[in-house]
Order: sequence, then C-alpha cells, then structure tokens
Amino acid sequence: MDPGRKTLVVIGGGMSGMTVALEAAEAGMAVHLVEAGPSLGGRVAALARYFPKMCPPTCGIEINYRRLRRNPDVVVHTLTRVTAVAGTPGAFEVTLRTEPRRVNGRCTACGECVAVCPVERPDDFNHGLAKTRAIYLPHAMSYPMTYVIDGTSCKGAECGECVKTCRYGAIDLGEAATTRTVHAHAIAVATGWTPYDATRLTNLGFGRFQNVVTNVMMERMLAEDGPTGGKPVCPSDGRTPARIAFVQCAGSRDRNHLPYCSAVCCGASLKEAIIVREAAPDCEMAIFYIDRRVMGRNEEVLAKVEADPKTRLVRGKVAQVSEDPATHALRVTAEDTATGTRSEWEADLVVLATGMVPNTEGLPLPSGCALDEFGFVVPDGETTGTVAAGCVVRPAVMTQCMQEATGAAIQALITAGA
Amino acid sequence: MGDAIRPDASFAREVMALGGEDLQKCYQCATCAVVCPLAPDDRPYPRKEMVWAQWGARDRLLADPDLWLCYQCSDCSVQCPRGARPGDVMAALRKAAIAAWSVPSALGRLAQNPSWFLILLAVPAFLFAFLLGLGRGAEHPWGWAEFAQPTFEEPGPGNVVGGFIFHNFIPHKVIYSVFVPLTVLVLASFAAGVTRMWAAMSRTFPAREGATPRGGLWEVLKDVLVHRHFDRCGEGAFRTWTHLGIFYGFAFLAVTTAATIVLMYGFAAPPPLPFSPSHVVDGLLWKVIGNIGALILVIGTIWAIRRRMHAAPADQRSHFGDWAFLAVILIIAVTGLGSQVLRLWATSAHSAPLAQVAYATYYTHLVFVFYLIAYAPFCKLAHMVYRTAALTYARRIGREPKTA
Repeated sequence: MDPGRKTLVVIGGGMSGMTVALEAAEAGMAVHLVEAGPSLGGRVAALARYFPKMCPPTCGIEINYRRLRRNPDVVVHTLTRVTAVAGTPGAFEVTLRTEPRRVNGRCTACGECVAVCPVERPDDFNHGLAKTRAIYLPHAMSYPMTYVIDGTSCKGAECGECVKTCRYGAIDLGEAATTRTVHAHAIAVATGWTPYDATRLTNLGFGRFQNVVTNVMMERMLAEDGPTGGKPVCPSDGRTPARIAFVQCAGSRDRNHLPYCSAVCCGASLKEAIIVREAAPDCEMAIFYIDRRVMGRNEEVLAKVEADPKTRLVRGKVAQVSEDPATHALRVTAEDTATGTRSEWEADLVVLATGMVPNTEGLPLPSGCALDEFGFVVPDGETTGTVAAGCVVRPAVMTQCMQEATGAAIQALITAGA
Repeated sequence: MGDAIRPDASFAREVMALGGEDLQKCYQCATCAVVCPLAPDDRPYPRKEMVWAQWGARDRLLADPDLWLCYQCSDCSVQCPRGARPGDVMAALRKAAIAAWSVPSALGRLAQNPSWFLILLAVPAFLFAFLLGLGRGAEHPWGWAEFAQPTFEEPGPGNVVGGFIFHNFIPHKVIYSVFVPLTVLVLASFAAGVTRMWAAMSRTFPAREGATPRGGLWEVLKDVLVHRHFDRCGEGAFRTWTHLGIFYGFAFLAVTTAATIVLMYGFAAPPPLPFSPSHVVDGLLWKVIGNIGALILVIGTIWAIRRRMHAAPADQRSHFGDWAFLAVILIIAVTGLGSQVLRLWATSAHSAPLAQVAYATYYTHLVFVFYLIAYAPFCKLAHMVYRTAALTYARRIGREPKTA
C-alpha cells in the first residue's frame, strides 16, 4: 500500500462491513477488513433468500466477493478480533489478534480432509441443526474458500489424519495465534447483530420443546444449501410439518426483553411463509402478529401471503406455547383481536421471530464512541473518527444497511481527510 | 356492540387518574388476554377493556360485567410487554364504576379523592362529639359528662359483670339513632346503585343468543364463601389469604353484632354481655366469636398492608383508595379490640383514668365505623356489593370465569 494513503479499519465482515470497506477502497483508501469468524458473509450468508425479490443471498454476496478479489487495497483478516484501540482520530493504533486457522492458502477446498476427520462438532452456522467435522468449510459461500479447524474439538497432533490426507500440505496443526498492530486514520464499526436468546422467552418454550425453532434456524432449513435441503422439518422426528405457527415479536417490542422493534422479522416471517408454500403445498400456516411492519416494496410480500388461502394472519400476540410430550405437537395460545376470541392453535412447528441484539458487548471502541441504552452504536464520525453501519446502528433490512454502509464509507473518507 | 365509539378523552384521563396512568402505553397485543387465568375464551378481558378505555368508551366500560370477573392478580401487568399495567387499569375502571353508579354519585367522586379523606372523616368525628355533649343535663349524665367522671358499676342481679360500661358513656339509643338511619340510607344507596348498574348492563351487554344462564346469586355467594377463582390468580395467589382474613374477620364480627342485638332485645340480656364460663350462650360464645373475628381481621389487614408494601408484583401499584380502606379497617379492628381490653383493664384496676382512655378509644372506634358504613357505597368496600351483583348478572347471561 502507498504509505501516504489514508487507512480505514472496518470491524465486521458481513454485508455492511464489506460494503463500507469496498466503497472506501474504491474511493482511494487502504482498508483492513477485520472479521471474527472464519469467513466473510455474516448473517446474510445464512439467509434462505432476500425479501422482497426472493433471490438467494449469493446475489449480493458474490458481487461483493468479486469486488474484493479485484481490489488489492482491501486486506481481509478472518478469524481476527480487534483487542484494543488506542490513539485519536487520524492516528489510531488498532491491535488485531488472529486465531489460527490451521489451514493455509494452499487449500483447494477439495474436502478430502473431512472424510477422514473423526471428530464432530455442532454446526454453529446452522444453529445446531447439523454437525460438521473438526475440519470444515464454514459455509458454501466461504471467503476465503479455505477450510478451518475448530481448535477446541480437534484432537491435534495425536490424530493428524487430515495432515496425512491433504496432498497440498495445507494443514498446520501447530499454527499459533498472532497479534499485530495497524495504523488507521478512521474506524468503521459493522459488527452486526446476534439473535436474541430465545431460551429467555420462557413462555414460548424454546429450548424445552424440540419443535419450537427461531427464525434464523428456519432460514437455514429453507436455504437450498441448508441442513434440510430447503424444506421445513420438525426437529423432533424429521417429518414435514403440516401446520406451522409463526410467532412475531418474540422478545421484540417487549420491555421485559428487547424494547425496540427489530425491523426485519415481519418481512422475514412472510418471506419464510412463501418459501414454505413452495416446498410444502398443503402446509397450513398462521402468522400471529401485533403489527404488520412491512413497508414500501415489502408490502408485495405481505400481499402474496394474504392471498394464500392456507395461511392465516392473526392479529394477536402468542403469549403461551405448550407441548404434548408424547407427540411433540404444539399448541399456541393467542387472542384473535379481530374477533375477540382466545383460542389454541395446533402446530407441528413453531417459529419464533426473535429480534436483533447489537454485537457491541466487549467490543473495544475508540474513546468518545457512545452506545445507546440498548447497546447500539451512536455514530459520530466527525468527533470520534469512527463511523458505523448495518444492524449495529439499528435493526434494519438489507437495502437500508447497504445505503447506510455507503454513507458510512463517505463519512470515513471525510473524517480521515482522504 | 356494533355501534360506533364516541371518543371521550376526559374519561380516559379519569381512568388514568384513578390508577391506570400507563393506559396509553397499550398497543393491543393481547398478551394480557392470553395470560389471564380467569378470562373466558369468548371475548376475554382485559385487552378489549384497554382499547375501550383508551377511546374513553365510558358507557360501555361502566356497564361491563367483565370488570368484576377480574381479581387483579396482575399476571397481565407482569407480562405486559409495554408496562401498560392492565390489571391496574381494570382496578381503576372498577373505581370509576363504583363512583358512577353510586347514589349520590357526587359523593362517590369525593370519596375517591384523597384531599377529601379528612373532611369526610371529620363528619362523624364532629357528629359524635356533638351528640356526646347532649348528655350533660340528663338524669344519668352520659357523654362528655360521663367521660369527665367515669361511673364504676358494682356487679348486681341486672348486671353480672359490672365495672366501667360503654353504655354509660354512649347510650345505645345514641348509637341506634345514628347507625340505624345511616344503615338504611346506605342500603338504599346500594340498592339504587346496583339497580342502575344492572339496568345499564342489561342494556349494553344483553345475553347473547343461545347463551345458557349459569345460575345466579346463590352460585355467586357459594363462590365468594370459598373464594373460588380468586386462588387461581397466578402472581396474586398469596393475596387470597389476606382477603379471606379480612372477609371472614368482617363476617364473624357481623355475626357477633347480630347475635348481640338478638340477645339484648329478644332475651333482655344486659350489656355488656357476661364474659364467664357460666354464661356461654348469652355471653361467652359471642365474645369468643367476635374476638376471633377481630383477630383474623387484624392479621388479614396487616398481612395485606405488608403485601402491598413488600410482596406485590412491581407492576401492581397501590393507590389512595387501597391504603385508605386498609387503614380504616385496621383502625376499626384495633380500636375495637382496644376498647374491650382497656375497659376490662380499667374495671379490674378500678381506674378512672384508664376508663377515660377506653372511652376515647371507643369514640375513635365509632367514628371510623361510621366512616366505613357511611362511605361504603362510594369507596373500595362497595366492591362487595357491586362485584356480587355483577357476577350474578354475568352468570345470568352465561358468562363465568374460565374453569381451570
């Protein structure tokens, strides 16, 4: 990189972080893109499809990957966390700690190592709906397209089966973590979100009843590359559900959980209902909601679901889910406020539309950077030299995240004087 | 029910002032109507009451039998995602209903206004103070004259107990001249109020076609005696016991009062009724029942106060009417027991100053008993009558709390 150029550190390699990094780099900055996980792509890579156009997430992600590959000004650091931020706007010292991948760039993703690996681990990308071996590819759209070894479950040198099998010499079980410090003129925070812990919604049974899942789990089931190959499935016995209940505002807009609206869950559940309909033409569905918060083009998604004769939209929040322990069949209780009738609705699968928690806990931020009462970043690029984009600022749909990420890149250029 | 709602912001504000101050936070998610352990499946409360209250649908709410199916366990308030406290809104609506149906309803509004508490209490205080002054010139001086020089009666054939006797301080004729007309007025007021409420309920919430009546007053009374439904309230389960204590404390005292009147006028038993093992039926039995009642009342009331102070769910708030009611019955129970103990003590010690303390306590007791009876149709105690009537109406139209 040209030493005279202004440098930006982007924390978070999801869609928002990638977009900030690319927009800034294409406008002339040198960028370090820092991602804690083994691959870029973030939450979007785990989606079944986008609404309202219902295209798969490969769309936007692949475009960004191509821009990254072509752009030498973005240095991607996966498995890397920011452990400290010192200095002031224009002269930050950012400390990066990179965990060992134990697989290097010679990996061709042939997958022969997986066949010999004897250890299984729960697949966090699929929210535990599937398992991977200790050596695994993070997901189908991994960037870099390189395997990774989970250090906690791998047996290490005593096993070494993968090392023996890999004909490219791509595996180094002894690789150690590294720490380095980079200089930056500006910082962009795009650490995204984590789904709200659904086990805290005690009345809705998640964690107690096998067939209560969250919307992010449903996304994985409905994804073509997901653990069920794009079909909804009852986790208790693997059968296709005949009745699915979607529980909106599961923890969102609730002073006992997340007091704010998580913005995407209405559209997400409507979208999931549309995908379910393609996979299971006879499945009966009910979406229990407080408000149908879909605006603009997303109203098309709502209209499509409204037109489905086997899907009911019930205005009333589910406040109780119970289970028949013998059959694992579920009952959701809600008042249909349109008719003033409280009733129990039987379901084989219950999908909780859990909300977004910003990923800011334990995140080192430059001094002066403020979080709001819920932990979202309050962007103030001008005084803190730190911009922010995506769901770490507020819960938002993809389109809005992209627009704001571009805005954040411009803000970073201005604040860095680039 | 199909008619348009005329918004009435002033009624919404009235409900907010009566304890439903978070009413406007409600966004109608209906969590409350789902978690309520008592609401029927058909048109459950309190979600619909919340939206009616936001619109200020006064006539509909005041005639709503469902207000009285709720025992304010506060399960709804605890689980409300908005902190709108529907349980407290229902309580505020019951207060508004009592104030509205009571006759004269102007007094209903005053009785729920904290700044009028002392003024309303001053009425019996001055009334009894005035009446006690009338005993000065009589053949046997009573009232303040007796207070100045308490009479000690020696036990005799017509008086098996003797000692200092409250009858000498305030003759029964004085008490009757106050409480008999007062009770008649109060009963008339209750009758008028309940008639008004019943008519409004019949008009606004007539029985639906095909509804099966589920009994009437007798079924309601049976439920009340065992506090059925009450104990199914989740967050407020503990409250069943405090309410049972207060309820049965009053019941025992009512039995004692009735028995005393029967004994005095049916069997010419002289007051005070003898308190000795040789007079079981004409004295001891009723004293024991009365004392048990008073003790249960004291325990129940103190327990209720403690619960409101420490153990109530955070989303259930207590308001002036709740505290005033508990304070008044506690004072009545304590001064009632105190009058008895102090009189016996003064008698056994042969002490005139102690007798004066007993007289003063008795005076306080009467003032607060007057307060309780006179304002019963207008304050919290009125729920006893209005709830019973509303539950009876609800049964008549086939509406009952959900069975477990």
